[in-house]
Amino acid sequence: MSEVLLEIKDLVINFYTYRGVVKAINGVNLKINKGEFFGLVGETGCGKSVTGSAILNLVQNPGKIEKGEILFKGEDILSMNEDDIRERIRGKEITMIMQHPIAALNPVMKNGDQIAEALNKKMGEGEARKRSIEMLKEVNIPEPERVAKQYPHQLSGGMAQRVMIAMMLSTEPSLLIADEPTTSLDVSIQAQVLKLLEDLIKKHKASVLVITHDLSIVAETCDRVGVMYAGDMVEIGKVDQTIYNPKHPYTVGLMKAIPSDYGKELVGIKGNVPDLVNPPSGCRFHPRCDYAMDICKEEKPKTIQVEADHTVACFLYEGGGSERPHTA
Amino acid sequence: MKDLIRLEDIKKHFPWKKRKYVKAVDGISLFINKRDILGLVGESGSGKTTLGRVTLRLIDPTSGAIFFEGADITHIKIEKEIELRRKMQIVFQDPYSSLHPRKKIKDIIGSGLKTHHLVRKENELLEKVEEFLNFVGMGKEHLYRYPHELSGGQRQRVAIARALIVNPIFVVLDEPTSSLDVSVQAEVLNLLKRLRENLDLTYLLITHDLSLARFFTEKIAVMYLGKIMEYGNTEAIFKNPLHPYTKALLSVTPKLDPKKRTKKIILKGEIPSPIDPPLGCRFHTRCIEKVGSICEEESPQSKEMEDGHFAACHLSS
Amino acid sequence: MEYLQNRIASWKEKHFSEISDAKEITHAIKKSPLTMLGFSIIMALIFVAILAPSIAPYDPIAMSLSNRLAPPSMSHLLGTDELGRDILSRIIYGTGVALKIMIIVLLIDLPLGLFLGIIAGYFGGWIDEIIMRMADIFMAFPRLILAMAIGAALGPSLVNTMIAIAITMWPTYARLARGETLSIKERAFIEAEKALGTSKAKILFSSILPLCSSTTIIRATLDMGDVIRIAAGMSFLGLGAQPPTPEWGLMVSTGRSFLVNQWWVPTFPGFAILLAVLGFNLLGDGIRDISDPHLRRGE
Repeated sequence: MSEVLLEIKDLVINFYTYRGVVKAINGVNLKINKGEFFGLVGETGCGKSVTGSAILNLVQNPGKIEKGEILFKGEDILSMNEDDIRERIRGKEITMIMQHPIAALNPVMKNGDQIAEALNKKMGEGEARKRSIEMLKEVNIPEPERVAKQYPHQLSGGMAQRVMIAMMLSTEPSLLIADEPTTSLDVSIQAQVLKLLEDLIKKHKASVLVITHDLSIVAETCDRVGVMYAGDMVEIGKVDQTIYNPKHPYTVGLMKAIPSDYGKELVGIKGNVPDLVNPPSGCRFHPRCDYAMDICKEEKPKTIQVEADHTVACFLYEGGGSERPHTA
Repeated sequence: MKDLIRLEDIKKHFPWKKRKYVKAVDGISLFINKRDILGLVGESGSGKTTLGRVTLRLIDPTSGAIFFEGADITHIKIEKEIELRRKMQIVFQDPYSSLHPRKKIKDIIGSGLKTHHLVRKENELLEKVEEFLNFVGMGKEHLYRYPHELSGGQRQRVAIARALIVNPIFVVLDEPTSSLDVSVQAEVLNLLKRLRENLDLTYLLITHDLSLARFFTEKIAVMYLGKIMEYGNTEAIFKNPLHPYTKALLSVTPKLDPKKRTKKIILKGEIPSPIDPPLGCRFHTRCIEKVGSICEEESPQSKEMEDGHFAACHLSS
Repeated sequence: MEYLQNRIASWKEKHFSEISDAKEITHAIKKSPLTMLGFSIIMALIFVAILAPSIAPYDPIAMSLSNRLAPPSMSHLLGTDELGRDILSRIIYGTGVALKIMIIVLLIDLPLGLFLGIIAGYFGGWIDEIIMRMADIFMAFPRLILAMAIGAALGPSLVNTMIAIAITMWPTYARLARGETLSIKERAFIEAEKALGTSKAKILFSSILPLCSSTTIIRATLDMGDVIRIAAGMSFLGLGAQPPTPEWGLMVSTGRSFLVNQWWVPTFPGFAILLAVLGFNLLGDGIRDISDPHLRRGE
């Protein structure tokens, strides 16, 4: 039985913009276990990045966390005071790497110093410097002493991401959040970075939350996956079950839309991602769903367990509907 | 088989600071037959985007020759040969910046019609634009909208309508779906395939996504640092990749289906800069199947290994 | 009747986007009190200028030597000047003069600056060099001094003042337009026009110009305050409007010797200048703030 490291309960987040209130996160639940790779997947506007920020209580204005709990090792991060979070959680127990690593690094600080900065609290300056060189070696950066003295703009995308990983693992976190970590990298570099991440996580015994729009990456690297659509968590489960036996019509639609073989027909999902200022009533996916029933327009579907460790939020699975979507 | 497009030893070197050059395209010869769908596949610095632009003469080559429908178009004055511009079109990667933010959809799509005098009156233009809007799956309610009021997928459709309304023969598709969500990408790709059938088009698809290339193209040229590493029919390349770079790329492209996954060949090091590409074979600094010192000294010639399947590698000699 | 309704409905549909944009802008303007203030001041000035003959109590050039330098009273609300002319009437008519100056300067400068800036930015090379060096030469001088020099060379008159001011200001707009053009010409939609075979002239005029004009117009609005100030300065020095034209700067100039004992003579025209400059600055600032996110959203 795996131990739960992070649990998000009923998270609701709104953004107060000039166009109106964007109901970005509509009651999201998820659990991440110790030592696992969890993939949070979805398209534009689904809210996956906001969820990642919420874990560190970093939702910026005009966003506001309306309700919900984020339990990390039993403690609710959303009720902790700001100083406590900064002392213990951010950059320490829970760290984050992002899509554009060079932009995320401090442009006027040397690379080595940036890594050492995170360690300064725990150890003396000299020791922190030594440790940062060790971390650079660990992430396979050639000539780590030289790179430590360089600045971020002198690094390539792949190297910068590795420096970020070094920084974010140096404090031995329990959870690393990776928000689109390889989206801006070339495929051959992406492979390097992902392999590195896998090896290091195993070594440091951390958990990873991978936030991405690329289902194929999730299929290859993650243990469990959560699929989000327009602020809702529509399906969660083990990768093997969810990706190869998807239940929610949206997940099925995504699978059918990914190109693989020549000539195999690609099927898109009709319609567009909804405007979350005026989201559709009931199930937010109903206007685009081929299996929509009347109840889908009226009520928000509850999350139902369809197999061990596989849940769906869809009325099709409540009390045995006859037609089920499939990827044949 | 008469080729529609032929490129002979095309080089494009961009001047860079003092007496240095970015050798974006460094000696590429290629041909595209009518109704082909050729994919140019590569990562950053491969030169695929530059090559696409050179083919259309949106950028002029530093040396080499471009033939279109058998005629040498390398040095002609394009402004005088406006008909050429009508026959060769391009769809850009970013739907957010390829449409003029202050123009209405009707004017964006109709621009080519005016330039090439394909319509005489305003109502003819309106009719034609509406016809093409329907072709790409949109409606007349979009005629008077501005780009920022449309979604990414819709903008890309407008870009496609704009390119196709002038009746081209050849269309360059520069990463046409990389800025779009997966579900939208599928619709746009299906649209492009349908249009190719209906309008008898020849496509050059530029992409970094091998899975997309496999789905969409019939032939592929794999590019690396300004040169072609491998060329052949798409299926042949996927089933039997010859070049070490192709093999590596194929192995690390993430695949949904575990049955398709092979042992990953993870290339060491970074992609070298096109300003100072490695001597000899461009790829030798990262290659795990190096033959010997010949790889560092001599640039391999492209050799036909199977029917229509070429590789530029010393291994295959 | 129905025909009219149909026409209106189809016009509304065609211009749906502009209508919603206009609504958004008006809403944004209303939300900013300072911008509203600037806007109101400008509107007031325009109305005063147009309605001058109806609202001015006296003829602005009618002299009354028996009633010279009279303090503000019921019959002359702002007093009279050294020739017995009603100051209020002169200020009212002066509004029209000020606005005329601004409009003429704008009419010369905006097209000139935009044209030179856009071709410099688009074509680069020697065209760019020549235009920019010329701009540099003009900008090397402080505006007022340069305007004075040109004004003096052309001869003192209101028209020559306007020409002189326009000449000092074109480099700013040319530079602005050039900067915008440099970044616009790299964008994909320009490449798309080239690929479609659109002629260079058409690209410059219908694709690049509309995108440069907003920043330039906004900048021009902010500069209007400056224009009035320099015109006033030129008149002050005798180079601009000539008597008896009721131009604010001229009024301050001829009135300055009366500042101590008959303070109303130069002070009220001075206030008029202050009010106009303030109005344009507030409006220009507000429009710039509003347009920024608006433009960003649209692009």
